[in-house]
Amino acid sequence: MLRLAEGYWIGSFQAMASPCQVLMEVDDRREAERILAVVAEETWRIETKYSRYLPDSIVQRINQSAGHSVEVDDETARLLDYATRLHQLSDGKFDVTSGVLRRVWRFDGSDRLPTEQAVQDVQRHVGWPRVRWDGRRIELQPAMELDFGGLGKEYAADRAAGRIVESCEGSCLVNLGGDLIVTRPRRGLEPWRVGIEKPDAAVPVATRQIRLTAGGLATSGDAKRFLLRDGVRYGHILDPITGWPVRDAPRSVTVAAGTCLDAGMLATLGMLHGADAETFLEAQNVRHWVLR
Amino acid sequence: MQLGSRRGSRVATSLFAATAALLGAPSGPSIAQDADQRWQLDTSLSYYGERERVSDVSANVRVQRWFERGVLSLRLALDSLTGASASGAVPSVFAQTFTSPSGNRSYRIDPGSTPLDPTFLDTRYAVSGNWLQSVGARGEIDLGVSASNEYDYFHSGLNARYSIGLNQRNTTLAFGLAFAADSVDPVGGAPVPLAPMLPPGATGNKLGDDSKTVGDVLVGVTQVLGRRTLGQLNYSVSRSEGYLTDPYKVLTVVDPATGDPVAGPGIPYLYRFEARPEQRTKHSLFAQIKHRLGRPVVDVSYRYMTDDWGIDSHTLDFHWRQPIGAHTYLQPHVRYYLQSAADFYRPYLLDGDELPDHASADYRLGELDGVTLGLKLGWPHGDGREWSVRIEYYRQSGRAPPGTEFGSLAGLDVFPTVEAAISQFEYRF
Repeated sequence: MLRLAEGYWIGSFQAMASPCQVLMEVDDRREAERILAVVAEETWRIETKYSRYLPDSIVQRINQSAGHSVEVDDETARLLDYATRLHQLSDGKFDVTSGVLRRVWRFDGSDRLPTEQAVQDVQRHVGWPRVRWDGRRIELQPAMELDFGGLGKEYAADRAAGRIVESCEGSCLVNLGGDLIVTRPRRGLEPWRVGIEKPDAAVPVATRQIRLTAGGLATSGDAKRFLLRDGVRYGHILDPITGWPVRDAPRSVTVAAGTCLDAGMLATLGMLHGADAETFLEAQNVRHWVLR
Repeated sequence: MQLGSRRGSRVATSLFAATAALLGAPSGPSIAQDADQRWQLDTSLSYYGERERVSDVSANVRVQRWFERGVLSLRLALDSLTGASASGAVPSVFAQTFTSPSGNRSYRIDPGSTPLDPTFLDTRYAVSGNWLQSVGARGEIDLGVSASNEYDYFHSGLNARYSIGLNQRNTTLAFGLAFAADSVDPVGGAPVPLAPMLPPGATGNKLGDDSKTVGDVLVGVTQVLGRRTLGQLNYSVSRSEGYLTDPYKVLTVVDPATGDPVAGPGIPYLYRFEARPEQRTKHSLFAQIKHRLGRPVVDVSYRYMTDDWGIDSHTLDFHWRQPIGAHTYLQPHVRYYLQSAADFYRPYLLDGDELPDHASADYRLGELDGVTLGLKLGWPHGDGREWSVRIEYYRQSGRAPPGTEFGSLAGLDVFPTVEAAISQFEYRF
């Protein structure tokens, strides 16, 4: 779907369970259509390839290999190397095998916490160090699962932006469900204005307006996904080391960085730092917005 | 590697290198700032003019300031009203003389002309403030105060609205309460209900000041109906008590045989001040649909109002916002209004009839319909700034109750058509 706004085109599509948009500062409708198609195709390609839910995806093949090693293509290899590096940089707090914890944690706003025993039972299947990855072949222990959900949208945004930056001289803003990247600055260095939803507001009043001139912007945190028991709020960011939600995590963290992945990973790491989110983010020397 | 250094900026530096390796390209610069939209100012200047009657020049300023916890809005309005307004008396084949509301002057109306009180002149100042903030995870509360002052009227009010988003914010429920306490201090005093108009200098028909209170309750639901459509349904009830009469409106007392006005006490003809009930309860139902048709946006609404004075009204309103190119939009507007008369509405009183408890010849309480045609041209130019110009034409036609125009009244326009022009210039930045 394409429409003209004040001086730019807005294209929209649905991917990765999120509304996605491309804002394009180009004059011609056909050029806007072409860019929108490239971004949507790239996003859908990544979604299809890395979805946990689609039977043909590489992630499904790895997860169902039941203790056998699987050889992966170059792109997947680079993503797995990246996941390895993130695991190191986060002292084990960012772990692409932590998705199995969702079997016991359902953040539906209720007070239904899982039992200690149930958490322990799934937590045994979490841990990147127990995965055998040699740069070409990956082998998961039985019952372990791989999940790129924590970086999929950011990766797709950067990849899609990379595919249009060469062929389009106008500035484009790729927005995949709130994870954003600007391909190049707009005419006259005018910023793109983006609204970051304040998680506890029912109305746009409380949206934070950010002017994004260059680079990426990503937000971690979702106020709609939590559990509440005895007055304690359990946010949906899980610590893979304990199997429990990170204590005292902010409601949301937004970070601006050169790429959407950098912004998204720093936002996630900020959340994983719980009460120390602000201290951690200050030290990273990036623009950030923490909401508690 | 030391743990301490990981907590430092080396995480970011190492991460950037890893990302560059993954994407096969070094990352570019990052430039992001808080939008400096802490202030928003809306200003407008508008003119409303009825043909041969009242005209109003109005200046409005609204300032909004965003804070971390909510939004503060302040409004200031200044209205300057001049011209003549219908007194309620019927035209006559004779020249008529009226005492002005102040009770110390008189004015003359030519034969056949609609009696208009030419002494209408007022300046109104109004201020209001609202504070809007989030409450809990999905709620929002809006609290407000308002006051306005005219030389014969003072209004003060409080209002509160709570809304809550449900169903992933696709549904919003709203509950509102408002209360107003107004005082009326009419020029020359509030007339004794149905007392005759007296010659200049006589004050036996006037009392002092008076007051009224108004309470309002509203419940509403706003529903997202698909990606392009938004619907809204509101029900509200409003209760007014106290002085609801217009102190400047009169009724002519007419001879039942000839249709001519009968002789008055110290002035040529007899006019009695109007009297309205001291309570009024209104119920209204409002439904609205906004729909995006590609670039144009259509907004249709309907309001039904019924009250215990016997007035039922229907309002149908239609806006079409049509973008033209990237920086302009055109917005046609059509509104149709239809109302039935209040039970106590009558164009005049008949001499010899027993005086009713309540009576008013104010044409705004009679059976009438009105059509508004308008056009707005807007130039939004980024960052929420916008110029706009609006022009509208309004035409209201009333219908006198059957059998009204008899005798000498038959050739006269008892219920004249009112026409008005509205123009507005607005700048938002």
